[in-house]
Amino acid sequence: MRISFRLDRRFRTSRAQFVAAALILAGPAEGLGATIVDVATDATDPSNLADTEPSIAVNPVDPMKIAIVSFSETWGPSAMAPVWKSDNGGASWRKVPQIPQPAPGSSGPGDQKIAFDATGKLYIAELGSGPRDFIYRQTGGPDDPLTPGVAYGDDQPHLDIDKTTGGSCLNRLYSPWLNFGLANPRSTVSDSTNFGVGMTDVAVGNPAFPNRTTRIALSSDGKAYVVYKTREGSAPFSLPGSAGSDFENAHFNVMRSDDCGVTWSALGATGVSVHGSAPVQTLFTNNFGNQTKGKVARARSSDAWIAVDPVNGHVFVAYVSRDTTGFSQIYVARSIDQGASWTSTRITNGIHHAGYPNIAINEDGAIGVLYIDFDDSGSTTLFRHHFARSIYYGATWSDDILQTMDPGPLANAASGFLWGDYEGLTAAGSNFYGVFTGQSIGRSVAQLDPIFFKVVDERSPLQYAIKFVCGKSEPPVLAPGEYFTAINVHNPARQPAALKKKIAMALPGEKAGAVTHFFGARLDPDEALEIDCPDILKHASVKGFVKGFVVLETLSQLDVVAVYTATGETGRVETLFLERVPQRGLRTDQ
Amino acid sequence: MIVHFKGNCFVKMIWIWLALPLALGLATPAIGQGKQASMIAKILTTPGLWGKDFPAALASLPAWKRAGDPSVAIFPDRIVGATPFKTTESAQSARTAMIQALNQRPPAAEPFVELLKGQTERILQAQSEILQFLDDDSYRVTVTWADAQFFPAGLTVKQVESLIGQPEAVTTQVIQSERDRRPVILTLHRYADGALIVAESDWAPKPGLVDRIILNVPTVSAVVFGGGQ
Repeated sequence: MRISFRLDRRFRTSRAQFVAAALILAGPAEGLGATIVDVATDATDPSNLADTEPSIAVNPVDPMKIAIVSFSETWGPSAMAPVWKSDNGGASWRKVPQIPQPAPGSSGPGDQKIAFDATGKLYIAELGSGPRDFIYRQTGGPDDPLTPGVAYGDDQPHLDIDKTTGGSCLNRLYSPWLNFGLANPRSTVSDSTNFGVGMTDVAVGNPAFPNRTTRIALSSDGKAYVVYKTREGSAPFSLPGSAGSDFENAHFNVMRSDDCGVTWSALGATGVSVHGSAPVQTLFTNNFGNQTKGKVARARSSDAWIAVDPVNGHVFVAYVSRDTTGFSQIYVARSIDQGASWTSTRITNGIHHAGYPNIAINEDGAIGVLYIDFDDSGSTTLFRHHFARSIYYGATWSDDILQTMDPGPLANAASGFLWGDYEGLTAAGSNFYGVFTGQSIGRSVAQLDPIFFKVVDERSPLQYAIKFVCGKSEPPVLAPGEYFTAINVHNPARQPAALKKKIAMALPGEKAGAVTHFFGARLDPDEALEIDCPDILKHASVKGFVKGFVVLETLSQLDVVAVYTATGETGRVETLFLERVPQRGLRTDQ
Repeated sequence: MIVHFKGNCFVKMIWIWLALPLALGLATPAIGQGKQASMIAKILTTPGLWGKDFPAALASLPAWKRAGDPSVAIFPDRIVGATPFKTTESAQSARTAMIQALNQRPPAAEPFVELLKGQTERILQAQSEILQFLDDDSYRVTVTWADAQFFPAGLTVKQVESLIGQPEAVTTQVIQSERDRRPVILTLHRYADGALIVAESDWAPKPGLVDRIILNVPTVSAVVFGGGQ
């Protein structure tokens, strides 16, 4: 079943009534459109499986193609575990069995994470019994059985693949995992130059403490980041209904590799704490919730996630910290200097316990955070899946509840685990795509299911089309001389602005020229940048005399001024012209 | 079932925590003992439910009892003790005690004499091993032998229900381990007031398959061997 709604005040009442059985909407965000779809149906999930701990990936070649893995059917000697797939942007889903047993006797999946490479091929990191990890890679058609690679690793394998065309680490595959074979379990990252056929293990983390929660994010400049936590002893605080400690002291540290995963010491031997030198108190419990009022969840490696802004390389970490409110809260730390220093902002309201943060950054610089909190003020514990978003680099946040769920009546919701250790969130273009294990929608039997959601920024983008003329001309197109164009862009707002730019070449003889893809840029308040002829030639990969348009698209109003100069035989400027470029509004479907 | 642990006591407590899954088989006298015993006897002798080697598994119960295991998990091809050990070395003494106890052969109670005829000798030829248990990564004492079949692989819960009726209760149990991989989640179908539990696992290759049958050792042993155990 598919439900679409705009999370704004105008639609709130009627839509909330419509979806009252499955969804409770609150805290509407201006201009945020969301679609929620139950991935499973009675036909695709006849055994009513719990489909927990989901992971999501969007095909970069065709964002309408989306893949999800969750704990659904297992693999066996004659059975393959499934991948959920959508070919229409998440509107409908099919279940494709394509994860074969990786080795005789292996049971699984035990943990899993999914990703695409730059060409749209599918990869999955899987944990089998043993325990051993395997990278499954697509060697045939999209729905053909995937091919497992070499055995490596241990607990909670994650996965990402460098997709930066022309980058020094293109196609480098990274898989963080936790090495339990040591006295202090150690964060480790395995990397591969052949998509998992062979893997090289590199110990990261801090051997002085047990490590946990190792997550990875890749930057478009080839740098790789991991966040991990050090477990530094229990903290004497309990969740409601619990008699023991449900928290522990920890540091969330970020490490960086500048050499495609060969070494991870770019930020020091153990990395940089995102919250300073003092430890935070984070969740380590099987009692997330209030066990006197219903089922509870496991939250042990459910407290950190990392993402990189695809345009400017700023690094963001979402993490859990029990602060002075007494509640476990979600914080977002931002680094604008490649992980060397960090600034944290709390994004939750300080009145409920929260955990399980996932974070992603879209191409407009908007930050999305998926997290879960619970409200035990009533007779049963209600768990709420939130999507928080900031379009201003974390300065302000909107927060919407995607679904409120009481797992008590759901037969396949196992107390002590519920949805699993983490859920899924990613960004493609201007959109966020996520999946969580929530209450089914439209199923014959109410149960846990993988719930897909897509959040679209419905603000109307603005466009600036700036004429450029660059290089030495020859008659009869333009008068002889050398022409220059300098485009100045200023952000007059008090909030950061994201923009993307492309070059549309204009050819003589009424011919259309090539159009480049978009290149991203960011401007903090009052900052300005300039686009000159060398930049245009570089982006367009051309030389000589060129004309056309630089097209800027942004969600913010900008000052855009073009400066045109030309030189003649003297080589000195002979003409100068300034033009303030007007903006035009684009419909969201343009 | 959720069990609390206290911060620094976690390492110690985890073994109690790990022991609980199989200890769940401990029966409580909510129904009359005579009724429970007759239900146990009926289930243990139900044709089609068990494999060819199940009588040998019954014959091993006194040994498990003397070794201190409160319950055993019967898998299609092996028997697994309830007591978790952190290392193979620490499990070794339990295995030795188990092997020695196999030599002590109590007579079967009257209804089981024919069924267990020769089985005590058979179980003596079994292979006792220490294996790492997928559920919680602990080391367990196990008993098996080549081609052992204690119940048919592929047995389904629906088939069990058609043979012995609906369970008295169905509950779910998450078996946590120290690791953060997907836990084993058992769906427990309780019979004879919990003396016998038919368990499904969410790790099974197909939903609905019987993964293991958990026997409460003292209770079932008392029915099979009476006072002679």
